[in-house]
Amino acid sequence: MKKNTSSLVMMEIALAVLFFALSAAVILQVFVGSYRLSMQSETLCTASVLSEDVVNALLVDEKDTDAFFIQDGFTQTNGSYQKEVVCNQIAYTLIADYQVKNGEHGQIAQGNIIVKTANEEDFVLPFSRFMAKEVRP
Amino acid sequence: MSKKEKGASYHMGLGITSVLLILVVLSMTTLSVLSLLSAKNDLVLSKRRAEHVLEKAQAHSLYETALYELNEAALAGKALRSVAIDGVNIAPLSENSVAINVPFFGTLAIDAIVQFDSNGTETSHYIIQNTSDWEPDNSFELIDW
Repeated sequence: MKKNTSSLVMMEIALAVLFFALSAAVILQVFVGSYRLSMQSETLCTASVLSEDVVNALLVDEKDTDAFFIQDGFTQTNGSYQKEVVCNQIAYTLIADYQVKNGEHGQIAQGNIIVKTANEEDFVLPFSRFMAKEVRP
Repeated sequence: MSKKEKGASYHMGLGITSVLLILVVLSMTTLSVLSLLSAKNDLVLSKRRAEHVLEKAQAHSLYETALYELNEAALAGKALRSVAIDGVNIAPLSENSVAINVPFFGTLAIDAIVQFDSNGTETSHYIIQNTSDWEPDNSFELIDW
C-alpha cells in the first residue's frame, strides 16, 4: 500500500513538472512579448522627442540651416546631415534630409528629420523653415 | 510515550503538489498578463504622442510655407489674396497683413497675424489654440455668494 502511494506521488510530481515546464514556456513568451512592446514604445517615444527637439531648436535659431546642423553636432554624409545619439543604451541615428529653395525675398528649407535605430526607420518628422532676407532700413 | 509527545508528523497528501503548482502558475499568468497590458498601454500612449508631434510639425511646416509664399507675393507687389496653400486658411486683414489659420489634429489650430512690408516680415501674434467648443460646468457651485 505504501509503495503504491509513493509511486502515485512520484507520478504526480512528474506530471506537475511537465505541466510547469509547458506553462512556464508559454508565460515566458508573454513576458518576452511585453518586453518587446515596451522597447518599441520606448524607442518610438525617444525618437519623437529627439526629432522634436532638433526641429524646435532649428526654428528658434537665427543661423543658416546648414550652420545650425553643423553647430548642433551633425556631420555631413552623402548629402545629408547625420548625428548619433545614445539614449538608455540604444543608439539612434538622426538624419536631417532637406532642400533649400531660394526665392527673391527669402529662402525656405524643407525636409525631414529621420530617426533610425539599427538601420530601421523609426520616426520621420517633417519641417519647413522660412528665412526672410534681411532688409536694411 | 503519547502521540503528542512524539511531535506532530506531517504527511504530504496526494494532490498538494498540484494545488501549489496551480497557484504558482496562476500567479505567474496574472503577472505576465498585467505586464503585457501595461506594455500595450505604453505603446498606445507613445503612438498617440508621436502622432501629436507629427501633426503639429506638419501644421507648422504648412505655416512656414505660407509665410514664404506670402512674403514673396507681398514683396513682389502681388495681392496677398492670390496666395493659396492646401490646408492653410489665409485671410487678408489689410493690404500688407494677413491672418493665417492652420487647423490640425481635429480640434487644434495655429493662429497667426503677420505683416509684410518693405521693412521685412513681422509676426505680431502666434498661438496654438483649441478650437473645440468648451462650456464650463456651472451646475455645482462651491461657494454661494
